[in-house]
Amino acid sequence: MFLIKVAWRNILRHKRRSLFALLTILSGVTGIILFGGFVEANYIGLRESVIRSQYGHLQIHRAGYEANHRQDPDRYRMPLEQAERVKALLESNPHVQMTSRRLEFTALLGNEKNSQAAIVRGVDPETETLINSALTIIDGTDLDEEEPEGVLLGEGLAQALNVKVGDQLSLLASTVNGVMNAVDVTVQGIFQSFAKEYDDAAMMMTLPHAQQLLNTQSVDTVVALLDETMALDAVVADVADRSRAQDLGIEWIEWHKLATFYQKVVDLYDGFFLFINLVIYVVVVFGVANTMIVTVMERTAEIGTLRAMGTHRGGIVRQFLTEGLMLAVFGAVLGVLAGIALTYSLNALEIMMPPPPGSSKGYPLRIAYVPWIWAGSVGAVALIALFATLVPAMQAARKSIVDALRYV
Amino acid sequence: MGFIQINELHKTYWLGESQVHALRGVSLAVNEGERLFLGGPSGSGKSTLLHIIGCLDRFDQGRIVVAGRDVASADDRALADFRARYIGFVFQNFNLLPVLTVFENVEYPLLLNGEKSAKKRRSRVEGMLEAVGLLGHAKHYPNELSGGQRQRVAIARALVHHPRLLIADEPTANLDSTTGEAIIQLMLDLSREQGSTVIICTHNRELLENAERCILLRDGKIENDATAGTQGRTAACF
Repeated sequence: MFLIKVAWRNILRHKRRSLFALLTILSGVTGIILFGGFVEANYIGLRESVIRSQYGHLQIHRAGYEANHRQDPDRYRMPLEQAERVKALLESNPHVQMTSRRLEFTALLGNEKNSQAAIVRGVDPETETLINSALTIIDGTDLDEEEPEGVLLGEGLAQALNVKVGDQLSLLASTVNGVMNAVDVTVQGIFQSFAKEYDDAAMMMTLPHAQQLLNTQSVDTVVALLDETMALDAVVADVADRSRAQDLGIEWIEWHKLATFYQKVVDLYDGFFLFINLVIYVVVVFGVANTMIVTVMERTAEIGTLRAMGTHRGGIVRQFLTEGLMLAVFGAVLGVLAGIALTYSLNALEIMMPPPPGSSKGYPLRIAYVPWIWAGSVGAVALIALFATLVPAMQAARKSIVDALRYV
Repeated sequence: MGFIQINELHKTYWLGESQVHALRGVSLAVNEGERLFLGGPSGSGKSTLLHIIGCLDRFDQGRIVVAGRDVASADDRALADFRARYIGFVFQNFNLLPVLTVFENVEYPLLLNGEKSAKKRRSRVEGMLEAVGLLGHAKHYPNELSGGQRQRVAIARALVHHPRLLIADEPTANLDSTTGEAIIQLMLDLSREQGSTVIICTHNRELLENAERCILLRDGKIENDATAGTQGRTAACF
């Protein structure tokens, strides 16, 4: 207690110097919190966009699908009865909000003037609309079971074909029997997802229409959307247990194993975040060390007095470490408070950011409130301050008592 | 053997590139309760001798025993404990800790000596502050006091833990003569009450002339060691 009291008074004794050190620490921590919150918000935003426009949280396939479906797609598709059992299994888990069946294939889409290869997805319109909530219909309307011939085109695909809502197109694909088949479709809507690459080739249609084109009753995938992404591991464990018990003959893949783009973005931003953290922490080291070196120099005679009276060297080291630590923790806590206040203010300003690489949409600036970054930055700054203070503190303790007493 | 026993003490140190032979075979015995004044011109070695007796500095050669302890063999930690327990210091520049109040400054040696009872500490500190006439200033900070008041606080701090040895290095150098005399008298009176041995280093001729015992150092050697009543003592000292 005595140590803390003396440390606190010494911090207040040199207000300007302490203020400078506090501002250095405060700005550093605020910067870490803002950038960390920005990165985290991007992760969350991108993650949910990926999940809610393409992959869902969990995709269930027939066993062996992932390894073999490219060579023999129909053999590894799920028959109708199996898909229904999978849906029932998934929907009995309280974290599963909804499920949807998908049939995916490539086809040639075109009219008399133009044609393009398209990645086609046949879906249950009602549930897929909800699963794909991050998909924006920029023209027309969403898929509707009442309009089985209606299709949604990605923005880039629609542009490549030079078509608009209401235009008629033909969709040509190979049936499961290896015969070419074609159906007529009508452009019902044009969509935009987070990924321009996807929008340049993607098309969606109702599942029955897609099954009719391929001449099959099977589906490739049953997709599950959960109430929260964090529940994924628990749901996977449950699916693993119960599917084994029911001998369902399925395999599954989580969204993050499919979303390679998301993982690359996370790796890139993690690198930025680490680099910025390092730069800030180096500045904090110099800020604290500079303050403590000057403090030790100025208090040389005081150190001599304390030592003369019988204070151990360790006592001197502890005194300066306490001061450095208190300065750092106080500055870091103020930095956290400033970071939270700025996060709130910047979020309220609704600043629009340009589209990220590979994306076709801009997005509003969002900074997440990330308590582990707050706690981590306080902890890191405290450790750094201890490190930065240790050298001057040990120098102080090693001073000759007689020389220290003579210091003016 | 005296309370302080010094035999053939040598001490050299480097000042830039030149070697200074500060003490050249000093031998001395001081009895417990004695009041000794050290005098001599600048560079005579009196401060060096004082620092070695106070266990603040090491020496090169010789032997010194303080309160029965051969201090040469003690490590840094043991010496710190020894100083905290047995020695009180009064410095020329008062050397009060600026962030502590008068009360806290005087309380510090008791904390160093592990006095855990706040009640006992308060009683001892208030007793000392009353003795030096500063009880009313207990909550003041050193920068709110005059030089004389600061030195009185320093005396209270030096004696609060009842040290067996009080060392004062030029305690009146930064005070006017009247205040200086009062400070010396206070120091002597309080240390007499506690039975402490006192060694005061000073340039003040008048103090040396009236001392019970005065030692004059010159060029690192004892030139004169005279006690009260010795014929020609003053002349010998100067």
